[in-house]
Amino acid sequence: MRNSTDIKHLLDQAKSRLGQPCDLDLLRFFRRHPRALLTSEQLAAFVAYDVQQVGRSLDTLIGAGLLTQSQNPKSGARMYVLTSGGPLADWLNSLLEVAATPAGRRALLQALARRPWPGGAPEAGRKRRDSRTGRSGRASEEDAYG
Amino acid sequence: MAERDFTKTGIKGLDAILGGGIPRGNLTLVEGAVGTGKSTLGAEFVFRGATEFHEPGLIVLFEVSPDKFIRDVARFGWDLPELERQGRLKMVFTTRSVFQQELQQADSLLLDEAGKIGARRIFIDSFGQLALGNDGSRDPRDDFHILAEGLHRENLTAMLVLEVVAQDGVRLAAPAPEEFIADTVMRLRLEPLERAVQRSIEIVKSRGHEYQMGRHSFRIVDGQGLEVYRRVQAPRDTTRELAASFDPTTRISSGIPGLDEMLSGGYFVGSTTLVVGISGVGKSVMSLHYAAEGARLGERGLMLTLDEPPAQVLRNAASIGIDLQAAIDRGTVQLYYDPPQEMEIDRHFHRIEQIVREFKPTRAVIDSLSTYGSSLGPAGRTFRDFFHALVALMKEHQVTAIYNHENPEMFGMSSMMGDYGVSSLVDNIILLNWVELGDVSRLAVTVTKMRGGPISRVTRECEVVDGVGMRVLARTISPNVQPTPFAGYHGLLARSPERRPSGT
Repeated sequence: MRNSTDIKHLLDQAKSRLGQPCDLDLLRFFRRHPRALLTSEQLAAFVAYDVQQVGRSLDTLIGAGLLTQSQNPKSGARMYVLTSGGPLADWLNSLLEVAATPAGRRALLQALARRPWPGGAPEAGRKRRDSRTGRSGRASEEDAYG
Repeated sequence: MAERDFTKTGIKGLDAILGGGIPRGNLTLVEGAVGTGKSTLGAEFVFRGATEFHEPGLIVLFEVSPDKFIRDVARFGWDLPELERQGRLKMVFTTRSVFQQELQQADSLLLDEAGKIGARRIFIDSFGQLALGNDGSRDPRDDFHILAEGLHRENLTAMLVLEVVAQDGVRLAAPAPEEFIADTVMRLRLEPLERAVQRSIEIVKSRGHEYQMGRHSFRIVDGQGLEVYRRVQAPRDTTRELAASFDPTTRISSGIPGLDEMLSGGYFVGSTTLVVGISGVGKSVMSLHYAAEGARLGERGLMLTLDEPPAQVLRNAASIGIDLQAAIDRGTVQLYYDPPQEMEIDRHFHRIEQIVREFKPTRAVIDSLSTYGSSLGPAGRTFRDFFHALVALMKEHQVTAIYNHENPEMFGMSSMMGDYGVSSLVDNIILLNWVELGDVSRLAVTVTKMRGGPISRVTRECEVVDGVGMRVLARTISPNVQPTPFAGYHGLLARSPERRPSGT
């Protein structure tokens, strides 16, 4: 695993691209599923965040040019495509390489949590975990991201 | 659809079974239990399409994440990310419910992705039986029909995996509704083979063309993918059957001094000869002479051995003065050893067929038929069908073949083939027997059957000499010769030899 200097360097390079833990976990999901056709609810369930937080993170990633999204107006599903190539490719690969291990992910999430990002406190949208199973609870309908 | 407009799968051996491929536009259901190879088959279908037939493809995954799918098929040398970069493949992860909705949309995002790369093939992995994303308001069969129509609209040749939980018995009693709607149904199985398992594929139905029915075996080979072997029992086409006969005008030598005389000059080209005798009687020695004689004359010989590994065959040959290794090095003899344990007969036959086609032997030795019997079981049809196919293959290619068969009887024979019952398929039968005379067992050879020519059925003595090999002794009747030649006895094969009165 890379050391903390590497992680800091990666995050410094990230600048305003990542703000929330959910941003990172979404990127990790899309790394494994680079072209995904899902509803917001399904995506939220896969990454175990609430739909509202996922919506905000998607906006962040799309705004940063890391993800594209297309939607058929008649369907609730969106096609998400992780950006490959381009000027961010090397940085993204390095970031996701670090984030691929549990320890690397934890280190990155902690580093993100320590950074003063505009737009709300980290983990704000994280679903509450069941203390016995460690699994996330269901997102409420009120939280749904449209 | 234009006549014979097929989508070739590109999977080794499968297109031949499918009669050329899958009719373009067909929706193919690939069904089977867990671990039967469904995903590998589907992935290869798309991979071969993109790399060999200029047909880009779409892979739709519901359960396995694309990164794992990519990792899993990389062992076959299939670089899916590279194909994606080249615009020849797209992989989409989605859910069954979204997929179902998408195919009901005229401007589907999914099919738009397919259109962007000009996809001609789609592989969908996977559905459980009647498990399409359905809100319960419709018949699942209607849902599947809608799915089929959506794919047809885009002119995609589709392969869709259907998970089957139960194995044959239950499953066959209740066909899935999807099977009625799909154009082609392939069923993959893991079949028990004693304590091992063997993979098989069956084309249950396929609209619009002829195909080879029955269960064909296949393997999943690292660095390659699937390799399908046509079941050995499958009937061959008529032209090949008609070509399968021996030439009753040309003879070739056995390579054993004295034996050709008993054979009225040698074996007919393309004929099938069975050499029957107990273990150690000299069948393999006779085979070695036959192959060595071919090599001496510059004729190619195939030695197919199940009983003895190559090193042992070479050593046996050397012990009777035959340098088989030199013949192998010169390319006149090919030794093919396939251990009989857990033999997959379709694959084994496929390999023989390949050698016969490529090496083009004029002589062949199969050592031994009884080992095939032990592997396949003499009682069932598999052994007989295999032997029939092997005989037909050799005749079609005008290979003069000798099959050794171990008979358990030490002296004489009450039955040539015991339970095997295939002697009607052979043209010539040679018996090798021990005959007990006084306190000595002497070796006897008798030609009991020879199609296409007269034979005397005289029993002659033969011997195997170290460093020299086998020879048939002269049939002298001189009473002064010691020991008394066989001609001086009767009842040799009846296990009760008696001296003839002198002068008869």
